[in-house]
Amino acid sequence: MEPLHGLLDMLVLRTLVLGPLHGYGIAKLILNNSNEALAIEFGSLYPALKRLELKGWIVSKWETSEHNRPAKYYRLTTAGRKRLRREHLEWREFASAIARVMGAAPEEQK
Amino acid sequence: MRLLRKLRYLLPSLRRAEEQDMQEELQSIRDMARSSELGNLALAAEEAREVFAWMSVERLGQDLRYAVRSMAASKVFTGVVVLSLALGIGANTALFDAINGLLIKTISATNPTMLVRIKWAGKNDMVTSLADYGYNENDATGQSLRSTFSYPIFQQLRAANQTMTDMFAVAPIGRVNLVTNGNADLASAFLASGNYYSVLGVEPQLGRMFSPDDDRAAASPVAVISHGFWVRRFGADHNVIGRVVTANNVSVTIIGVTPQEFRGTQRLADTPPDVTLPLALDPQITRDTRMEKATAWWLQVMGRLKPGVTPEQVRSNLDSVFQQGAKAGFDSYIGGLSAERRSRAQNRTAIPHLIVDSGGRGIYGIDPSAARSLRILGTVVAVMLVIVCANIANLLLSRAATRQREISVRLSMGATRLRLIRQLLTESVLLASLGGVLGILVASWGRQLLPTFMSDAAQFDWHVFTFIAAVTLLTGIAFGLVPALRATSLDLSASLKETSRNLSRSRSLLGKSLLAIQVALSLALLVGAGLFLRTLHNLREVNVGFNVKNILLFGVQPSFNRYDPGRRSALYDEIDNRLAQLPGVQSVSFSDRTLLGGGEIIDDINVRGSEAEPLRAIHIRVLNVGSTFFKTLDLPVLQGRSFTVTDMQQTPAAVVAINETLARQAFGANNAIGRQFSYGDGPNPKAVEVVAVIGDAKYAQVREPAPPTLFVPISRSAGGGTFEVRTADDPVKLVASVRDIVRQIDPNLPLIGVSTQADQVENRFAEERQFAMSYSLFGGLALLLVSIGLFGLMSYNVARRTNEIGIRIALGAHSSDVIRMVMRESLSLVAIGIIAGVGITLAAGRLIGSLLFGLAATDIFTFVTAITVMIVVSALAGFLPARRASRVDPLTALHYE
Repeated sequence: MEPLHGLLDMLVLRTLVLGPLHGYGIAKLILNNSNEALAIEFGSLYPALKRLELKGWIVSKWETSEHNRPAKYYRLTTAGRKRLRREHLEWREFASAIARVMGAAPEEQK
Repeated sequence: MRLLRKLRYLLPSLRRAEEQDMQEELQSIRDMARSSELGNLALAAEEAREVFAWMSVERLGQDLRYAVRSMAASKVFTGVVVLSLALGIGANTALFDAINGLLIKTISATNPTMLVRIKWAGKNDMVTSLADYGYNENDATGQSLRSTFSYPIFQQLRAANQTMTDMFAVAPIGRVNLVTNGNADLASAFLASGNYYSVLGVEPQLGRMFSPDDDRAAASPVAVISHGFWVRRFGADHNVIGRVVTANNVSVTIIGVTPQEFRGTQRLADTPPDVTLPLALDPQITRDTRMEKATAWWLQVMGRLKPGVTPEQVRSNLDSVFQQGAKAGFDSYIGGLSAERRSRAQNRTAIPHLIVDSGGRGIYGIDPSAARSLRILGTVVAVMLVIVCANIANLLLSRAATRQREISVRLSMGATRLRLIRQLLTESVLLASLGGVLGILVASWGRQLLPTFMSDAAQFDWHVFTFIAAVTLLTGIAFGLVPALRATSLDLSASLKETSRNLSRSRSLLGKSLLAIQVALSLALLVGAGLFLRTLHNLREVNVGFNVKNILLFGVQPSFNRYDPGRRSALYDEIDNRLAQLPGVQSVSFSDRTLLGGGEIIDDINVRGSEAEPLRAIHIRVLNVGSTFFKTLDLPVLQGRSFTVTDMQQTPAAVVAINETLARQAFGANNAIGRQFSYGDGPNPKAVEVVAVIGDAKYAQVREPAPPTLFVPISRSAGGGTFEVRTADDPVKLVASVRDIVRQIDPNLPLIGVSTQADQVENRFAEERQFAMSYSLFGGLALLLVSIGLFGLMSYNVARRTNEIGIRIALGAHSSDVIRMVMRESLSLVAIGIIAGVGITLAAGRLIGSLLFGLAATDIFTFVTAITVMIVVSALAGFLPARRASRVDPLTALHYE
């Protein structure tokens, strides 16, 4: 399952709340936290990272990874944190609205 | 997105850096992950690149906004920087304008690079009369060139030409008397062969250009006038076409006006001749027979290359034709001589060879004195710009210190150093651009301060625009880069924890070196100003040998109006008499030219020191003068008698006067009066007798000692000359009355070069005056910048040391001790600069040494004065911060961060 375009940004921001991560780490964490439901290819994730960086919500810096290799780590900025809070609110409203409309799963007519 | 992509390519270095960073990141990911998890990385990279494009534009916008904000926040700083940049860039632009006009552009013609100029080099025995009209630069091998040919040679070259589409011949003929609607005036005139305009490809602004059909002896006389003359003389009247005017009493019809940008073919920066006439009119206009003479060389020749032909091919095409033509011309000339003179001419055999090179910049090169002016002024303005850059760099360093916290915070927040440097550079380049824009205004104003030959040449075009853009960018980087590097190379934790105190030590050293450089260069300019001001003073103090005050000069050239010799004599008599009756006139005289007017007649005479000695040749200057000349100019007659009216009536002259120097060189201690030698033109020069020895007077150059000078009675039927009018009062007041008198005598007779003798002498110093002005102007500005720089640096140092100063005061230091301490710091800095400056100035002295007069480039008085000025001004600039330091309140200071 592939999340919608705007949703990907939100997921990245949310994942970075936990601390700085490199690009591959972000993809992996999203996969883990969704119980392997959201398998995001790094190829789709990377442009999103650059977009967020451009908007000033995250910043990147070269650091040494857990395997002692250089890797680029992304970190949430104050502006990014603010943005995440807003998206979170919107998402909750959106999700509950959808939930109300959808209700419980309907029985199939015989 | 396509537009943004383009924008991104505007900053290729940025794009490369981002690209490399991205590739490294993607590689690090590949190393970590299995390829199945990664998806299409190439596509990802492509999408990311589009995002980058956004980013660089976005960041540039951010940087600009930030730069504008910080500039607005410190208005005084911005004002000083932008103004000093405007002056620095403006001065350089003004000079580059001139260099562009004099050296870089091409003449205004169709495809000017295909034009070639034809000259010759080597000894030339084939010529008996040679005219050349400008400075021929040496060719690549260093041999000197000449630019003129005889009319027959031109015709032979043209007939033999196979390498050029066509060739034309021209000759400037100085000025003609042009009468339109009864108004007489002088106009500069030029002769050109009928194909001149068609070979150049010049289209008329109005009417038509003349053609080969107009250039025949039988054709009715026509003239083409320049755009400038059309506007000046005819008020840009379109009905000028078909007007009949008289040029030296020849009726000619105006048939066309050249376009405004056309400046002729002589030099790049020439003002075009007012009137251009077909070559065939030469005998009528100049009353000269040179067109038929095979050994009179007076025509310049240019041609247009056929496509694919080189100048060298033209030379091999025409060289032998040229040499045969020159030889044939000389042979026909000696054919007409007497047997005795012919045998003497037999050993004249040297024939020069042709030189053909590009004519795209006109026939002449830039003459050495103009090139020297460009070199000196160019150095001055370039030095000025370096001082400006050093000053701004210094101010930026001080400012960067106050912004250090802000910068450390941004660095710790993850901003890269590159990003910050870029942002600081954006600020400097923005400052430089403001300075550049203002600099264009300064340049248009500054051009008027340049010597006329330069300001006439100056023209704003894309060369100049490119220059301004390049200089602006370079200065922005030059003064911004070091402060930006310095400001961002912080030890983060140190600067966040502490005040900026530790850091400032090294920054202070850099600031001090920059200031010392400024002091050194400013001192060089000040010394230059002093040297030229003293030179000018010395030149003005020179005793020229006669009284230059209260003499009015004006010339007439009645031969232009076809006055015959008898009428000329009557005309001169009448002008003499009428002027003598004018109130305030003490004496009137006449001569063929004036002393110190710029022109010279140079000749040789052969004399014996005593009757027993052999003949000896002496190089002399000649002046043909009237009987009242010595009295009018206050030239003392040391021995013998002045010329009389009777002396004037003998043609050729029978008596002469010589100056002291000539008397000494010719006759030593012997009495010169009554001695004879032969003088005059023609095969049999007549013997003349010395009747007077005159006091030495400068002839053409104030700088040189009076040359041996021969005064010859002027014929009353001379074609023209200059009147000298000695007045009791300011001679300028008489100009109007003199004009009236001459107009009443003959309204068709224009006055030439109305001036005073004093102005004429002053004009000899134009170049020196120019340099004195430029050096003083820029020296003064540099001094101002140094004081601003010193003030800024010392204020900063005092602020930095407030704490320390407070402790000193608390421990009992007097305010005078504090002042002394701060002053010592600033003056030791200035002293270092002065020492370096003396070194630089002595080394650069060679550049101007030959232009100085009455003092050497190492003149001690000038150096001491300049150094004193520098010390006094910098002491003042350093005193204000010192006084502030002395008033530090110890309590506040101890709490000072």
